[in-house]
Amino acid sequence: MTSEVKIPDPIDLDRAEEARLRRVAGLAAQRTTPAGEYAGFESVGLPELPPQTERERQVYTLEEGEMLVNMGPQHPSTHGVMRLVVKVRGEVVTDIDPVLGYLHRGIEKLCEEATYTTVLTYVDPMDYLSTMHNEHAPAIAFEKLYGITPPRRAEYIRALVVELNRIFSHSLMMGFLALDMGGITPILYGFINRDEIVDMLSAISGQRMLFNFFRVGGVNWDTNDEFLSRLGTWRGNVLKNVEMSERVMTDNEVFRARTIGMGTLSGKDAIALGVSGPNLRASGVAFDVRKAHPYSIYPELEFEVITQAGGDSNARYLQRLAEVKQSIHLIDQIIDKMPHGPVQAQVPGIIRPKPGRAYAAIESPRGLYSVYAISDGGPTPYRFRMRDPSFVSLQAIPKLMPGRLIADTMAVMASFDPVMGGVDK
Amino acid sequence: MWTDEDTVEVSISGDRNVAVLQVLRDDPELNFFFLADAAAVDYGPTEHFEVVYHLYSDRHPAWLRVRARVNRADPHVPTITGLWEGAMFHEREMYDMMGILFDGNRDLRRIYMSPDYRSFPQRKDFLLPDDAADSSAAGVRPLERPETWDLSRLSDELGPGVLANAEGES
Amino acid sequence: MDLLLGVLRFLLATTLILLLTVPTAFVVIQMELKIIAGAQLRYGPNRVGPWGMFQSTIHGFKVLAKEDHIPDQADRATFTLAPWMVYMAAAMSMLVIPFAPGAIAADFNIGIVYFFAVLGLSVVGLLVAGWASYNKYSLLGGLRSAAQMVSYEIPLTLSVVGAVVLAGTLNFREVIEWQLEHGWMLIWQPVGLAIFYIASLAEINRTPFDMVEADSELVAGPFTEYSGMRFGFFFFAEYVALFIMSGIMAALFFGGWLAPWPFPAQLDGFVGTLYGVVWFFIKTYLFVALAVLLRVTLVRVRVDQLMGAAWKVLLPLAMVNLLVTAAVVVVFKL
Repeated sequence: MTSEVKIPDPIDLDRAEEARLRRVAGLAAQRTTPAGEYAGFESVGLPELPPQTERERQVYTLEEGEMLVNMGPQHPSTHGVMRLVVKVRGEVVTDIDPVLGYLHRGIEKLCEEATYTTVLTYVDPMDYLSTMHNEHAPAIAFEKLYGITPPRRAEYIRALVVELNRIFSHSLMMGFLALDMGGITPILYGFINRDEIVDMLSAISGQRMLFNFFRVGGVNWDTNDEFLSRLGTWRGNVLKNVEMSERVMTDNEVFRARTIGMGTLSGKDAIALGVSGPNLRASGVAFDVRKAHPYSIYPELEFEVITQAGGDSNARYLQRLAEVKQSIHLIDQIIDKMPHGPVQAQVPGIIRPKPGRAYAAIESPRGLYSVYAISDGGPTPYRFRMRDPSFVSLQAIPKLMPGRLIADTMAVMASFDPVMGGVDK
Repeated sequence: MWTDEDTVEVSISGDRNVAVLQVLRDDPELNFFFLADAAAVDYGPTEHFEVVYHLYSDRHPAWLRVRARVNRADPHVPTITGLWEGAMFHEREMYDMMGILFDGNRDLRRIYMSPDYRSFPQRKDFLLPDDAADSSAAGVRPLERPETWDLSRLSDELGPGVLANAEGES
Repeated sequence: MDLLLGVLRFLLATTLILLLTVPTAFVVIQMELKIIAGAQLRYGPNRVGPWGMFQSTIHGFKVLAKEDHIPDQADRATFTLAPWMVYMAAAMSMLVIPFAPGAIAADFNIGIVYFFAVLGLSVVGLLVAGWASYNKYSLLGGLRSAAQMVSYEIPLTLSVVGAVVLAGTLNFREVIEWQLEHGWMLIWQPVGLAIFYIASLAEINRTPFDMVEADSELVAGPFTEYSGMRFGFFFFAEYVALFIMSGIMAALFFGGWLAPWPFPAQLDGFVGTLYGVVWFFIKTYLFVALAVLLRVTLVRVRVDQLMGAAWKVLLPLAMVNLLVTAAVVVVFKL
């Protein structure tokens, strides 16, 4: 090594690289076309797009006075990366085409090469605001495949963290709903609520967001002192905190004017569209997977399915508020009834379930989240399919928005609470 | 293969799916009003596909799984968007990932991959490097063409030699 | 000689006003940062200076340091002109604000009319900004802002006419002197005050009426393509306008430089000027704080609801207020 090493400037490296690539592609070494064109496309041509489908033609043909506005993948107020191509006439929306796939990570295909325990870590970042639910459904499916039941204490702990997750996911949704309409305070209250719960969950699982907590056959760690003390403190404060956020939003005149009557989805339409969870219940249909097809310990807990009449954004907001209170009530029952015992069944590190199929559906904060797993007897699943509720709820947006103003698009979408991680898998 | 106790399974052939699902949905005794999931399974490079529907009814305690068998060589299935509008995204995803074509679907285009993508990622015979080399961007992106990799750049000694290497190679 | 003195005085006053706009903006922005933080249960800026006092000042200098970028196809002349127009609207209207007896930069006989006329210049500035940016979204934002501001100017000016009729003058100083004798205008014109407050918030594009900069929809509206000090002009102009509107509200409806108690409400000489200035600033900053609290609590009103409120509610109310005031003045020979 000489004492003077000249590190080439990255710009020079880029230019040299581009010159070599152009020579490889058979072009002249220097560009003669204006900046902004990709080198090399002249030789391979632009990609051919498949022919337009009927719906595409419907959306992308502009009539007199219409304009396509791109609420692009980078929005300032976003639920992830999604592109909404909105066809507007003035301020009125005439059609919407959601373009997805910006966050697609190929999780389903990845999981076919991962052992069952690893799959549980891969599914965490799908719907990253309700991580415990993402893990719960595959855990149930794999336990069905493997033929074991987790111990009672594990089931209770699962239910506890799942309800905690539901509370903070709903708090965040309420904050994002206000934020998308310009209210800058409720989001911070939502994050205060979330922080308390997340600190608690980090005491039990070691992570703040992508809790790698569930295992096939139970949960990974038992509750510890710090978790229990934080739980106690939180439980003492939570109703006051919820009431604080509620006060800023529920009776806020402008908020009510912006949400009442907006994005009204009837129960029939909601079922046809596949919408589930709080969105469906806000339209009056009493379908809650925890009651409809009970799983885990929900048969032992006392609760009722809450619905709202109306199906507008305000109803969806009120529904989530009511569900937060219901979850707090459920957590009280869980804490009362929690038995002692082991928290994980004896399961080998790499499980090889017998060949079979299993389907498990749970109620996530966004709706019905289900996993369809096929095992071929090997260490990895043969097919691992997740059905994410935000993915399906997103179809409601093009149905609801035409005839409304652009400003409502964001507000109505926020009231459906999609999370792009789940939509794009 | 067995199936889990709280699901009832029905296997049908692909072209009868609309008829079967319609009966399941409309019959008041059965009343499977909610389409919980529509998924596609690939059983191997020489085997068939399967389109799997999971349905929920409030009159029956178990989930119902309808497995519709689809030919691999000619993967056409009628669309169920007439029964459930919400199946549109599911069918788009099945087309995008598996290449199953749904007859009668008004909007059968790719949903996750870019519109000019040419293969179907979740098939069992999908290979990523082949696909990339075959893509329309081949020839431009050096990582997809091993002959364009400049291994000398990976050496410890950086210096004017790097640029000379880049200029000299063809 | 008189003329020369007059001209000198005028130049001095205008320079002072121009210089005053910048610290005013800094103070108002700092207030906003801290009050919003308090409402959101945060600390707000607390590193730069004691209690984070200099945060907004440093923001001002930061804005100077940014790259000045004009889009390729934007119309350079109008692109450059737009921020000046908006800022000048704010600065010029500051000329007539009655800070204290003897401390008014320009004591016009038609001060109130001048004020509202000059305020309208900012509408033109925003429109020009939206058009000159060569950007679909800026254009939409500029059009929306023009529609909003023009619609709300009418109830704004009408609400003040009631007070003018009562006081019998268009001069700010004389309105305050009227209030010295008859009590603060807010007890005479409560409806006018309400309309004025709402319309003034809409006029300066504060939440709940900030459709113009609805950043969740159209990025930053007409300011999308502006960077660096150009954006700084718009930004400061908004906060200076907030200060001005609060000041005018204090002057017209809350007694301006008068103390809330009648002993004494107003002093003479230099001490009197100080006394008046202190009271004026207390009232103005109270209203600024109120506007900030409104911003932190309320969500944005939608554009059609906004326009509906202006034309269908505020305007008829303002006209009725004016009629009733005029009738009362005539009948009771006030």
